[in-house]
Amino acid sequence: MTADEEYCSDCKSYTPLVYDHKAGDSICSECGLVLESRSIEEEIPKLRLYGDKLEDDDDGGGDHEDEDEHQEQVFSVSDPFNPLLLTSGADLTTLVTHPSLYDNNNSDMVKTCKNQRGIKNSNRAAKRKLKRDCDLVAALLTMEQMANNLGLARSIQNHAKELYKKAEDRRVFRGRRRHSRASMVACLYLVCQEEGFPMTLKEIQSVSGEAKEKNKHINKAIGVFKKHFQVGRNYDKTQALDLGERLCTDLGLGNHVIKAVREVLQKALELIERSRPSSVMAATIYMVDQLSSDNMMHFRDIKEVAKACRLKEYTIKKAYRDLHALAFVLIPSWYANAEDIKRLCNI
Amino acid sequence: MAEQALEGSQPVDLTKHPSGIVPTLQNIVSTVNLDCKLELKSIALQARNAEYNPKRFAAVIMRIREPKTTALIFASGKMVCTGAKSEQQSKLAARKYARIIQKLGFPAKFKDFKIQNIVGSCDVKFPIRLEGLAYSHSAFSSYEPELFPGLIYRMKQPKIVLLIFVSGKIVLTGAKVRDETYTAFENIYPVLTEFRKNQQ
Repeated sequence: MTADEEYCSDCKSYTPLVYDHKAGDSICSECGLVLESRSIEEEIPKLRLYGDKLEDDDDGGGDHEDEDEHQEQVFSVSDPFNPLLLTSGADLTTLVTHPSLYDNNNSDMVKTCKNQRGIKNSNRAAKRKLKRDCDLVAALLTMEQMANNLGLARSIQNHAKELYKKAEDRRVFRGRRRHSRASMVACLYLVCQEEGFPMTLKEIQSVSGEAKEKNKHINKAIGVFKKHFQVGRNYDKTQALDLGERLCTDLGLGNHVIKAVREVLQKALELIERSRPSSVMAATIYMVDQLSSDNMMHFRDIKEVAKACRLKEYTIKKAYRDLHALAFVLIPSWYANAEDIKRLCNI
Repeated sequence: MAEQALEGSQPVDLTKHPSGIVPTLQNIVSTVNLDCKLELKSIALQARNAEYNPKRFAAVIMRIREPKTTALIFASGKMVCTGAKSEQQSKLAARKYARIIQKLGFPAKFKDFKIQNIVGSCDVKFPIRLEGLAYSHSAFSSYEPELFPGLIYRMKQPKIVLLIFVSGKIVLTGAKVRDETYTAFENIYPVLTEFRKNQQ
């Protein structure tokens, strides 16, 4: 507390004031009236500032005017607290955060994780946490790479990363299943489904790296994601139709061909029960493409369709046989006449 | 429908099975504790119907012809018996395995016999629109034709998992008693008829 004189409206005279630095109040010492509240004190102890000039003058001579002038320079230093913050009870701390998981410069963090042996004076739990963070970052980078290879939009990538991070936070995958390619494939598959950009598992598997994941493991991972996060949609025909449309575009088929594929596929999925939708779709594209060419000679080879759909030729041939038997029912009259349908190649 | 759904030569009790179809039990999994430590290597060497590969799996795999079952016998004395077609057969098979272990010189008992899982199957004899079923019962269903051609229906009460196929074939698994299997099928049958596919 410090004292000074100021006019008090209550006492009607100049009275000594008491300053409460902590609260920032100016109080009349006689009647106790708070004349000014929450003010930041400007009467701060003046500290001598030692400049460079004095240190440089070793010979004792030189300009003494400068020295006197320098002595008059003062530097105000405030008290080591902010009275406004302290009265409101704010607790200030310093927080050092990890780099964001969505940064592109995460490779440095992954590298530092590999040098964990160099971390001294840190307990096992901290090391374990750091390793877990590094594994997650590495997994997210892998997923990002997969998504980029598939040409997925940034929104889909972020959604997939978010879902994967949630799964890691909740520890839904344990042991060998943690950060497995199967869980990454499952995550991307479900997010693509949810965002209305369906992809076949084969497409995602084709960019998942060196190891081809077993469907069994992917199926389990999909089940886990669905159970814990209610993510993805149950299969419906629109997914197959959208997928068919996209693959037709990839193969460079015309609009009227795409329209026919859509119509044939809609009927085919109703009639052919035991084949996978993707194989029915590939066979449909192959069949409709045959009818699209003028003389039915320059249509796309089954190998080309198999490559685009990422399926085995045998799978497409098997589905094609089923389609061929129903060709007259499936193919719309506006697209091809009976003569053309009869000339469809028999595998 | 009722005439078709005869299990063996027994007529169907329509009060118990209103659908007229009785799921056939295909597999029973049971466990029993022989209550003694076992030397698996000596069992494998002495018994000719046993195989033991500790690098592959840490249990002796033993088989008998009647009832046609397979048992997994662990060093702790615990045993799993699979492959029986009824509860009685499963218990009889487990007793036979315990007797074999006794004959090999181990003081095997027969403690805590319990049926762990019952698998049944049946055919409703009409195709089903799995897509529609998955959509309307999305809380219980999982249908991913790219991964598995059947719809996986997880029933809450009784807690049974059903695999429903387009052809109308149904597999019911997860029951502890056979009545759970029957109840689950009777619960799902009206749903299946609702999503019956009109054959073109």
